[in-house]
Amino acid sequence: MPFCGFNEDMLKGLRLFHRGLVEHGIIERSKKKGQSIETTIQNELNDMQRFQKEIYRISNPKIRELTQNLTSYACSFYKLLQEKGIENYSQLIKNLNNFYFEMDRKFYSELEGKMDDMKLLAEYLDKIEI
Amino acid sequence: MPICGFNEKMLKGLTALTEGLVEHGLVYRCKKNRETIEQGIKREISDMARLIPELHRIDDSAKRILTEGIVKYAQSFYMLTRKTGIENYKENIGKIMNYFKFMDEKYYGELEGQPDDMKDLTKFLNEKEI
Repeated sequence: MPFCGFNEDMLKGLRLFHRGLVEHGIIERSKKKGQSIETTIQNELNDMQRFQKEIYRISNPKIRELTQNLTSYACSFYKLLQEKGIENYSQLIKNLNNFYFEMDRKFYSELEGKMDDMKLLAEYLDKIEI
Repeated sequence: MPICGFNEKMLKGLTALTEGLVEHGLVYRCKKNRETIEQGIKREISDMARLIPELHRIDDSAKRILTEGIVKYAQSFYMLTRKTGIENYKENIGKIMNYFKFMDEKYYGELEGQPDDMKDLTKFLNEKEI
């Protein structure tokens, strides 16, 4: 870890996933429903919050965690999108990929095997702008 | 929501990311570190478990939850892989993607707008095998 050393395919995969969250999840859905982007983002966030409260009903702990984490991930991505503005989504996606790339680069090139490696990594991540 | 209606691009992206967790994060890294796949999985899970308690150091809440979400997603995927083995990893990842696709199809095709939509959705997810 931290993220097992991102390779190009993984970064490309993540970029596609993020783009789908914006282009399919927000832009297309807003058009389909005839509602504003802001309304769609807010509705998605509300739905996810309601869903998260029910996830405990999934009894397999590994499946429950996967579901919970993917939903939390999409939820915080939409919060960032809300903050940065939909017009800046391409830049946001680039910045996120850079953030994950940096997380791995810092760990594997400087911190792996050191005392307090994870503490130092989290402090480093705190300073990176998205 | 639940995850905004997966489209093909998103599934492809998530598949690439998850396959990278095996091909790059386990197979490639285990060769490099001269360790067995089991040792590699154990090390990854343990590193992630050490990182997660340090993430509170990231002040920005959306950034913190994104980081937590992606790390925990990888961690729960490795936990599943520990159980299923890596021999059939492509098939297993396909099953996970089907599970996410099922989650969205069930929500958008049947449950959206109904009372107890999220409660019912999690009941269906609980019954769905991966």
